Amino acid sequence: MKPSPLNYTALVVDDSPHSRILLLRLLQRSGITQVELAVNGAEGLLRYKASKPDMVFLDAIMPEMDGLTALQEIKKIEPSALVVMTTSLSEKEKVIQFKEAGASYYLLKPFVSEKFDETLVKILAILAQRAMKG
Amino acid sequence: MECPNCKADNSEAKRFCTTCGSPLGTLCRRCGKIGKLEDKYCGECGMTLSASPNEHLFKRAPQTGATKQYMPDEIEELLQMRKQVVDEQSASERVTQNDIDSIFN
Repeated sequence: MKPSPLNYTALVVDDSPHSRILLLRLLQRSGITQVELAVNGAEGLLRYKASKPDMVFLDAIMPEMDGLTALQEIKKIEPSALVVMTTSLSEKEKVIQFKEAGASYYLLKPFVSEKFDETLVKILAILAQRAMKG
Repeated sequence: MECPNCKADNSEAKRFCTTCGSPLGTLCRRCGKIGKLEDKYCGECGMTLSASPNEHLFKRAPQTGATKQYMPDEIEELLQMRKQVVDEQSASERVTQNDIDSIFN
């Protein structure tokens, strides 16, 4: 049942209200209207457990639970989870740490909407492939 | 908590020594939070807390009531060392989105 973006669900985890709204609008503009928002890693993890969204947009620096911990916990629940890091962290060491923890993509803030769209297209392609495989 | 500088005893709630003013933990260079001295990463933002080789330069000296006077060559040496630390920090391998894409592809 999934290939249309309308049927996919997303979770945005970011402590910045501005970033949450920006990501929400970018997703909605692409046809993904089922979007949940969380303000930190702990809330994000709870929401992930409850609704198992198709994709997660995860900030790195957040109170209560940071993005790396949330990513690791999400991957324990669902190893194939599609998680896109959306963060201003640009240290190579950190980027590699997120990659090794299982992040699928990494958007360096501030990013342009074209870069977001490009990443989303890749995610939708992966989801479509998975749907075809059943 | 024992002060690593003057060994004075401080309550756990203190972030700086009440006797000499030294930090009682490791200061995160990114977010300013103070973690335990043995922490490897900042519990607030995840920044590496490894001590800089010249970190001792930025610790507060015990308060003696008198302002230390520096000779010009000492000031020059301190400025050089400070510059070295800043250079090390700024060169800590920051990457661009293109670099990140290469890492992730």
